Amino acid sequence: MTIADWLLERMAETAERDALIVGDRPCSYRELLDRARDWRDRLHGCGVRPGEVVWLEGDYGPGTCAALLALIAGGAIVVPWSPGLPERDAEWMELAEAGVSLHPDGEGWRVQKYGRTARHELLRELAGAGRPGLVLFTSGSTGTPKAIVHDFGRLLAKYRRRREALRTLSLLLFDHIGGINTLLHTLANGGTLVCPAGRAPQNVAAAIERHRVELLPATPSFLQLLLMTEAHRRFDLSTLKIVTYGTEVMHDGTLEKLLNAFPGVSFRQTYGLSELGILRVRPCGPGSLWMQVGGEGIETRIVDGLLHIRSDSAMLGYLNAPNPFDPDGWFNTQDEVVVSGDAIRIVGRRSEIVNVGGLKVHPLDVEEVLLRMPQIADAVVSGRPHPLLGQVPEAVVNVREEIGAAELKRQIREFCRGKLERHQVPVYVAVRREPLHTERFKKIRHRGGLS
Amino acid sequence: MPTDLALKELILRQLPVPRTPEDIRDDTDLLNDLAMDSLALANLLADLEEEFGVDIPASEETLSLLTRYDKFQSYVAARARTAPPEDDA
Repeated sequence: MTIADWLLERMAETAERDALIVGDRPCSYRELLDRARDWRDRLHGCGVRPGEVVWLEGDYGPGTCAALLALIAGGAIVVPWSPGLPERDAEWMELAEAGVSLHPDGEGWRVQKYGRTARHELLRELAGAGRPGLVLFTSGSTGTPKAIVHDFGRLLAKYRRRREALRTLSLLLFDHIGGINTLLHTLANGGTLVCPAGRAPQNVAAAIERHRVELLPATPSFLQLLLMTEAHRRFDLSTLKIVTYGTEVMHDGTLEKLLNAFPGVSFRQTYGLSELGILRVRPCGPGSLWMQVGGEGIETRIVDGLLHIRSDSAMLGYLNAPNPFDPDGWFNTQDEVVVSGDAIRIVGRRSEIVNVGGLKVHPLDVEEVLLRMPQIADAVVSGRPHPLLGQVPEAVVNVREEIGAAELKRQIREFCRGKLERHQVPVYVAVRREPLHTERFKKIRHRGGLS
Repeated sequence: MPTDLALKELILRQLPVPRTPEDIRDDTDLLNDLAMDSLALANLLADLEEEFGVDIPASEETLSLLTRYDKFQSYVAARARTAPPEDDA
């Protein structure tokens, strides 16, 4: 018996159904399970043992997904990795203490061994207990990423409860906790994962139309981009039933535009962190940004305005950073929240709050006002160091039509009058042509990322 | 080089309380007479740099320039670029 047996048995129940559609090629549950068996034999043949850290490069193809299943079933510690990301593979592979790496190579796969044995105590604990593991990296946009270690068995447990089988689009990347969540949720429920040719709005919209996608797990940045490009008007997206959004804060104005553009679609907020997994969220009404985070195995509390969470599916710890849990197992999410009754609303990461001479500015509040200006297509507000005030707000924007930054700043000040406090109005404005989000569709909030 | 009126307008638009160009004379202390607070000052320095290319570091020494308008105007006139910038503001 392995920790993944129940999942493999569940998948066998819907053997003839499409598990994946990559481009236009379907892959049934039967084929995926056959491939997973092949992988098991191949890995065994290559000497990959339980507890080995295995770097798995790929996207949501049949080969990659089958390898993932085989590795989980074989008790390996998997490090999923999306190709096309910056060239930091060797450094990050070493950080994860990977002993083996698997790379797509034409129609086949290349297996590389490094003769490295995992030494970190978290990895050794997992190996000693014969439990599969998962290593993810925090967003590497602000310096060295943290390598997060999960017990894969604990993560898998939440998918045992049966839920609706939906045709789901894979937008979030394979090495993101949200992407892993989408994959496991889909496979555990006999759904179909539709993998688009690319992650630009037109690719995604085309895949939704062609494969009659019902569930789109997305980010607010992607949804904002979808509205900006109006891809939703060029394709038939009427099969969509649910759009989930998480990983960053949604603006009121964007949500309102989405509700108008997609009447009949249920927009549901999710809450998750790489450190904690994806948690169940109960929204307070349709389209509400207020929610209750919780459910079985999850406790929340607010300390000094910050959300703390204790969860059964939390990571074991970091490979390259101190243990962030307090002695009772609470994790400080650093997400600042406002509370109303037993509901909360996330207002942003505390580290992103701009401190203007002691006065707090939440970037979200400013961005919401800027996005109401017809000339602004997208906006990101962050703190710029300032010798007099500590920090001042700086806005980086995409505009719909050419305009000089000085003129735009004058218009912004005029527009913000009466809508924002003086200290909230951007002191600096920069106009950018390139997108204001990462390739993972999260807003770039640090200054270096936008320069 | 900015005209006297352009520079005065740049100063005036930073003020929390509306004033007119006539309120600024050669001996006007921009900080005290115009009740310019630190936020207005931050915006003034940002706009000067972006619109006229004049970088005034926010140190005590350089801020003494603001104690008289004529001194401030001479400083800006000597350093202002001729063409306006195109990109960031």
